Amino acid sequence: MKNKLTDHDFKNISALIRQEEEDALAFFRTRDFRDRVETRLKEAAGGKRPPIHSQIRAVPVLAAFLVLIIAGIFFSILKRPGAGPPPEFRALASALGQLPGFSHPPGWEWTASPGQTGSSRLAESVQEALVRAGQLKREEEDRISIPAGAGRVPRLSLEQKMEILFKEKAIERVLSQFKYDSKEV
Amino acid sequence: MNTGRMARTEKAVRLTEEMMTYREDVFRICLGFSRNPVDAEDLSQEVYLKAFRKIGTVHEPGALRVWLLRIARNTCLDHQKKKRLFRLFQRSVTPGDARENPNQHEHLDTRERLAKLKAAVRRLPGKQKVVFVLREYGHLSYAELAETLGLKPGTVMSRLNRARKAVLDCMTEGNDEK
Repeated sequence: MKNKLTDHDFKNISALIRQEEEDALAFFRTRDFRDRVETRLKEAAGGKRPPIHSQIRAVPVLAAFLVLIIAGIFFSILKRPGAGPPPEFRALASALGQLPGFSHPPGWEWTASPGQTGSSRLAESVQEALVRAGQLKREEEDRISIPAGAGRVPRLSLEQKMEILFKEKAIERVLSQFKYDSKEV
Repeated sequence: MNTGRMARTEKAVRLTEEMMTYREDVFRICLGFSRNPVDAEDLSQEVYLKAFRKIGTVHEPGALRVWLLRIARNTCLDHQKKKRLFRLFQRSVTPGDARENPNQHEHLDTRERLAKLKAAVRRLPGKQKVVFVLREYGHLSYAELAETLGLKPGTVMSRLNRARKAVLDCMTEGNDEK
């Protein structure tokens, strides 16, 4: 058989296909196709007239609605009472606030609201350690307070300097330990 | 109702009317794939339902026919896949058509030849079958075939040639034996 077929080679089969088509089309033309399609469209739309054109509009309206809902949820989370930094941060802020040299006034202390579960054990221990260190430092500073208008650095003994340095290092260690633990959590 | 909305509605109505003029083309393609008129009519309805749902995506009214025939092809191929799966569980279904056109009263010889043709088309590999049906039943030109299938005209021609040869071989197979 030839590799390349011509339309003539296929004439008989084409004629058969035409005949098949004619018979099928004769059947198809007896059916009211348009009515059937409309009925199915109505069924698909739940008995209503198919809103073909409204579908075009529905997409941006739905998108805008979704954006509004998402924005609402986002703002409600932000504005929720009691929402704020995690308990570890609050504890740390409270402890640091008690240390001299920080911006908070001496009497300032962070207080948890009654509904809150409180900070973790780690945060509590850090807070305690920092408060203690802060108190020690304050006592130390009171002891070696610079007289007003002195305008010069007080003379400290080597022992006093070592003590201050030791306390500073202790605070540093606690803070670095706290940072390390927070990362692990 | 604003003018934009009215324009869109008018456009959709115009496209719907134009789409309806191609219903016989769609039906013929569905016939080529489904091999019986009743299924072809059901499939044509499916095609129009899908087309109406996506009517908003038509940006070039000039390409409406090709777009519609592409939906027809995809719908028929999906239907064939489902049918194939269904047949796995329905061994009792004969290779011939379950439903025949009630209006047809062919001569026995013609019926036999038609049955052979149906079997031959059914046996065609997927890609060849698509080209064959769109060309022989859908009456698409080579350019339209290339556009519908996203192929080069040369590829379309070679596939069609192979499909025709396979159908011809299958049709003459029985005759040669006799």
